[in-house]
Order: sequence, then C-alpha cells, then structure tokens
Amino acid sequence: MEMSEASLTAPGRRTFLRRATTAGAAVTIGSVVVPIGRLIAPAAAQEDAVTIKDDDLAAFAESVELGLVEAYRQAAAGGKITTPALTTLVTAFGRHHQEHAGTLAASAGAKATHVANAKLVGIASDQLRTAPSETATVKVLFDLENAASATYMFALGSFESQDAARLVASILPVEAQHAAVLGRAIGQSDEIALPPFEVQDGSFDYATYTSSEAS
Amino acid sequence: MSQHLDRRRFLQVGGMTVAFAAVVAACGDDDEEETARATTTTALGAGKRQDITIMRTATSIELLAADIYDKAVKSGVITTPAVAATARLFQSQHQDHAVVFQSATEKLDGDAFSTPNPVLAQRLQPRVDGLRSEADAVTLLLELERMAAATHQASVGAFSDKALNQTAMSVGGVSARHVAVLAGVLGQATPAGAFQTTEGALAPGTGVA
Repeated sequence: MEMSEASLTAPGRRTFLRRATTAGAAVTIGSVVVPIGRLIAPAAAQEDAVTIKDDDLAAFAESVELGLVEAYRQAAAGGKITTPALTTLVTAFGRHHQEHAGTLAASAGAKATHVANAKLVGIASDQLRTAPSETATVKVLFDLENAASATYMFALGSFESQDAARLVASILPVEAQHAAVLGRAIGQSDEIALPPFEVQDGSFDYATYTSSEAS
Repeated sequence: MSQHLDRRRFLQVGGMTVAFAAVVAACGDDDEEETARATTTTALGAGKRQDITIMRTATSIELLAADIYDKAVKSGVITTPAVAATARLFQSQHQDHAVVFQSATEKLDGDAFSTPNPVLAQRLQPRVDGLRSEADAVTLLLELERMAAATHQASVGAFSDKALNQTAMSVGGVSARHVAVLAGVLGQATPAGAFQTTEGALAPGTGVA
C-alpha cells in the first residue's frame, strides 16, 4: 500500500505484514508471520517494475522533503503545539528536512525543482488544520515521518547509483528516529512507533505524488 | 563509484585492513576473450563472497545485541518497568533481524552465522559484568545500537547485489529507532543531526571469519 489521502493516518506498514504469502521460511512477529523472502528480496519493487531515473527520484525526494518542511512549518504556526519540548522537536526536525532537501537537490542536479510536493502539502495541510489537539497534530507529523522512511526504503531499491543509495541510507534512519521520538511523545504503541522492520509500504507513491504536481 | 572503491571506503570506516585476493592478468591477445570471461567470473565470485561476509557480520551483531539485552535484563539492574519492557521488545526484534540476515546469507549460498560476534562479545564482557545501575545498562545498549545502526548503514553501497541495500536498511532503520528511544531514556536529544553517519561501524568480517 502506498501513501494516499485515505491512508495518511493509517499505519500503512502493517499492510506489509498482512500481505504475507505462505512460501518459504518466515519470521513470526507477534501473531503475524512475515515471509523472510519479502525482507531479503524486496518483492514489491520487483513486482512493480517501475523504472525511475536516479535524478528524477532524487528530485522527487527533494520535493517530499520540502513538503515535510512546509508541514512542520504549519504545525509550528498552528498554535496547537504548546508543550515546549514538542516545540523544540518540531523546530529541529523541520530543520533536518530542510537539510535533506538541500542535499537531495544537489543529487538531482538539473532535475531539482526546489518546490514542495504539492499533493503532500495539500493532504498534510488539511489534516493539520482539522487536527483537534496537540496530540493529533503531532500524530500527523508522526505519520508523515513513517511515510518518509518508507519512501526511502522504496528509493533504496530503485536507485542505480550506489552513491545515491548511500545518501538515502544516511537520511532514512533520521526519518525513522523522528517517527520513533514523535510516536513515543504522543503515546503511540510500540507496535506502531517501533516496528520490527522498516518497509516500503505506506510510502509516498512516486506516480501518485508526481502526477499531482503535474495537474 | 566502482565496487572496489565502495569496499575500500567501507573498510576504512571500520578501521580494519582486509587483503582482497589480487587478480593477476598476464595474458596475451590470443587469450583475451577467455581471460575476460574468467575475470568476470572471479569478480562476481568475489562480490558474492563479500555480500556473504557482510551478512554474516550483520547476523553476528544482531545475535550479540539480543544476547546483551538478555543479560542486561537478567542482571536485575533495569528496574523501571517500561525500560525493561522496551529492552525485551528490542531483544526480540534483534533476534528477528538475525533470522533475516541468516536467511539472506543462505540465499547467497553462504553459511549462516549463528553465534554472537565473538570479538565484540569478548570486548564487552567486562562492561556486562560491571553493570551496576539501569543507566549503566542503557548506556551500554545505546552504544551497541549505535554501532549496529552505523554498521548496517555502512554496508549500503558495498553490496554487489544492490537489493541487499534494502535488506540492510530494513534493519538499520530499526536500530536507529532503538537509538532514539534509549537516548531518550538517558535524556539525550536524538537525532543530533540531519544525517546519520557510519562512525563506529564494525568492519565486515570482524569475528566471523
């Protein structure tokens, strides 16, 4: 499952676990059986067989990061986050995303747009505006971070360039940490905030989130 | 960047010197095609062996982490129920990670590694024996998680089979989450910066030869 309007607040990574097949050995995680093959041979990427050029993918990732920057800006400006510790986190994490965007833009070269992903910003803005509380506001950011981490898992399987893969590998863990910190701060269950594996399900789908920019 | 440079960078990170077998190509024009084929075969074999070594090293780290968590919990120094519950969860996850890396090793036709990394285990044993407080235990576990996260990150770009980049980071991202939680227990802000580094990564092959 890729990230969509309907799924932005859903724990998309759970879908990965439910999408188990019976072939081959498996890891049991709680009551869920995960086929090991899904973890050591990213089947989704192979099944989808989507070929995206490295610079296009880097440009997409840049637009996602700038979308996250905008989401954090709106969350900070919305007046719902009042706990000082959370305010500090929101400021710091937004800055991290700005740095990610800059580095990804350099990787994208001439394909860099320096523009926030319009679809992502639209969805996040709606949810941040209607979030009834501080916790709900942070939950939106938490979901965005998990989606970002999943997007980089997808990117790892798509980049041809090993240098690009290394860049992504330096960003993905930071998104994952953002999610863990925010999730714990608002009392998300460990099952949601601390999954056993990073997966690409729940990612910002390249086709969906780039087509919105063109429309 | 070439595969050779990728690996050299990885090894520099871990500060360990590994001598790869040199390929000597002293051949005449008549043997050019055959030599090219042989060289390709040798290169592919070397790449696969390197992938196996990385996966075995990763397995050994995950098994070590599971073992150290177990010892930390059983030592009795972790007295906060929530911290103990987190430690048990993380121990279980490391065990799951080891299974995935073992399976990946076997898929590469390698022998899965099945014990905690002996080099690190020996190095850390005095720390385990000296645990006197919950802070001692969490500090040790945090250092272990940081090393694991750095090692899995460092493997990206070093695999000959690029699909293994995802395998490594499916676990590496989780190690990073563990770091965030444990650092939080100690009152440390995490992540400290926008990019995770490979500082402190264990060199592939350490303890698993």
